[in-house]
Amino acid sequence: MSIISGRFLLFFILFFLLWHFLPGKSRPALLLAGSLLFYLSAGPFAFSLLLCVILWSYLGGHLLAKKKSRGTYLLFFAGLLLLLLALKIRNMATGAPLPVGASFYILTAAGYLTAVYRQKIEYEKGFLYYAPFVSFFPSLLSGPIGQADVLLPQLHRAVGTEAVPEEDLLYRGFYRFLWGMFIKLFVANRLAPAVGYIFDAAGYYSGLYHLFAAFLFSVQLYADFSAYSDMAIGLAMMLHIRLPENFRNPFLSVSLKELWTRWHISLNRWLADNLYIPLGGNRLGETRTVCNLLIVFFFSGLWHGEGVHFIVWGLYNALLMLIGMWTEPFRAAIRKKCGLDTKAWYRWVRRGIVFFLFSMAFIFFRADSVAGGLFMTRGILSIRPQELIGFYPQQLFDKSNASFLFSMGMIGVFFAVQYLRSREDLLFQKIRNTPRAAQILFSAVLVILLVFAACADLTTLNTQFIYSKF
Amino acid sequence: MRAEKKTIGKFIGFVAAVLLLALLGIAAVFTYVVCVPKDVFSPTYQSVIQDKYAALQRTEGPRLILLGGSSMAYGIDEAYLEELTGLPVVNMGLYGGLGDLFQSQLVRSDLHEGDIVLLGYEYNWIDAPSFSKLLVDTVMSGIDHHIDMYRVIPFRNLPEVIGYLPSYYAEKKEYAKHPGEDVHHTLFDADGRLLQARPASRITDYANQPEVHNPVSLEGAVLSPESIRYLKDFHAFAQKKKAQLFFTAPPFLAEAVEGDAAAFDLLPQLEEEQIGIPYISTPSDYLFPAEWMYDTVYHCNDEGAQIRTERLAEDLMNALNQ
Repeated sequence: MSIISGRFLLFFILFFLLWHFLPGKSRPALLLAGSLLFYLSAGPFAFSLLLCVILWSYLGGHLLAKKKSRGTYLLFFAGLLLLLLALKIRNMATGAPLPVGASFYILTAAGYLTAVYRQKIEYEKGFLYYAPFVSFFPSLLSGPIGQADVLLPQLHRAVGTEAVPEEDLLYRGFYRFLWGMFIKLFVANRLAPAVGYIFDAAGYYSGLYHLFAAFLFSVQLYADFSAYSDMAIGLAMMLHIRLPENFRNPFLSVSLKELWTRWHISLNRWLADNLYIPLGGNRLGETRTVCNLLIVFFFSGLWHGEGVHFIVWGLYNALLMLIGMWTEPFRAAIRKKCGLDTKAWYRWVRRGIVFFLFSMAFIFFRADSVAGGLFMTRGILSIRPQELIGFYPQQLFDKSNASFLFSMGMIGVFFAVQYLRSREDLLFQKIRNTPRAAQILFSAVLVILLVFAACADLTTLNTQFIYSKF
Repeated sequence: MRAEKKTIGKFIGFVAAVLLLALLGIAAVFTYVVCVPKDVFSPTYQSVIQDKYAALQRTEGPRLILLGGSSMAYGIDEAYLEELTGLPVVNMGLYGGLGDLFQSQLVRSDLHEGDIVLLGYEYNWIDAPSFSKLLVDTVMSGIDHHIDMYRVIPFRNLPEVIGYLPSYYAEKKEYAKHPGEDVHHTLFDADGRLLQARPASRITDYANQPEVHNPVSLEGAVLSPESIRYLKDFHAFAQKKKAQLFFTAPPFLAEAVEGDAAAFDLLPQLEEEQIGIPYISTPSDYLFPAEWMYDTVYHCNDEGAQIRTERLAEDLMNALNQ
């Protein structure tokens, strides 16, 4: 079930009450039951797959604890990745969709095995702790990808009667959840049709529209994915569980290297811990570093989708990273010579360049083929000034100036709040310090807006998040 | 533990207050948009549903209630049918654009012991989402400020109403500036019965009249799960109320039949097997020539309405006497 649905909200309300009012020792079983019940609606195949992944990785951890064996680790770790590959191949061959969330919980389970093998954590003896760790329902469908060293200790603490309730965490979680829903409904969903018009009929539009679509898609994807992450993190907070952040204002990055530390943080951390570093990272010379980067981005592209264009997207990003890496000494020297690093305007120029390059790569992510991506890229690279004359983006927003301006306004609100959230404690405390009645009123107005937005167009309402397709 | 419960309790209280206030806010917005100002859509065709519903509520039973789209509005001589059956007639049929769901729900909300309901839906009831989707734009303009009529809308369709409110507000403002012809009060009486004289057919050359052209084929007809589910439930509800439900065929232009016309006569058996409501008419008896029709494939002229009324009364009396 979608986490933007009446059914899920009822489910969570009931779960929340049971979680907080039943004895602490029942929480692991309750969480497991709740997560499995949540996932039941994905169908018998998906449900069985989840159980298999849980059992396989639990057994793997158990065997690794008995004897730390590279062979055992590789068997169980590769087994999970091969399972993921098999699902991707099955999708390519038959069109059968990947079971929702499979890409995420398979990585969660595989990451656990690596953590046990590297002795970052003790293996989890208790099946009633391990199973809910893998199937943790707030993040099951689209992440953040679970980290065993972060989540397992919290599940153990949740059982203890000495757990001190953090009142602020409940409210943070509540506002976080509402904010995530707001971004999904008012930003991501508003941009999706406009993006679709151009990507689905690129031949009818000029290069300037292609560029506009690329930028819009980057924002749409950021909004959509961060919305889910915020909602998942918010739900977990209301259960007194802290999930890791998944986004940290990625478009404030001044380099692509920095961007990958701010975008889909849980996946990139997983790739670093489970692929890049085990392969040697950047410690084995330049040739190995290049190979390792290519492998990691290749895997990332494959993880995101089945088409070749996703792999092209991944390798395109790898190429950009390598070019950045090779040219950095030269560029740093110029910046130093011109004293640019201290100039605020130059940081914004760098952010603009990063956003442009990132968006250009995302063309291949959104296009339905490599040819489609190349077509749009060529269009962008051959933009002529006269294209500005016929540029009328309002036509993509119900042919309405009001709708267009509202959407742009919502993007502005989104970025403004995301920026303010870098000082989240301050923002949160400001809200919490207002009188309780004002908080209730503010929250009620937000809920009203969300209800209207959610109901607005039920025939085309997109309650599915983009990343739940991966 | 006590401290945790107190903290959680406070939080639950907070969320409950937020949700309650939000609910009140939505209700306030809904009430304002729907009720202020009143009667904006009163000239419209679909607003006649208010008069029909009022007639349903004030007519003493047992009643003969007719359900359908405009084929029922344009296809019945109510006074003549009352004469033939001896029952007070309430014709709830008005407009396919209101949707079979909403019109059926209106009848459901006021069903009493002894009532007879004749379901004469147009043929798209079979496979379209007629009984799951609310045609919210026409329903809301049809209901206008009569908030009590909203209670018949199924709970699961309420999000469609809420979602449409902003558009409805804009539509209301626009219509108030440029109201259309007063069809409501010129074509219908106070009970919602059609007064419009239709002496002749306007269908002179069906194949070359694009405004009339609307073929229907029932070859290989498959009843949609939504229709089956809803009508079964309606039937069970009527039985609990000790009312009777019968299916009848709408009048339809014979020329507009696509494919094998014999497929029409297979529908009663298909319906009775899958839904179970007695189908009292033979559809081919209601495939009319153009000279009995008016301006669409489903609308009768005066002569056609009289013939249809007679056949319907005969079908009903046969069914009741069995």
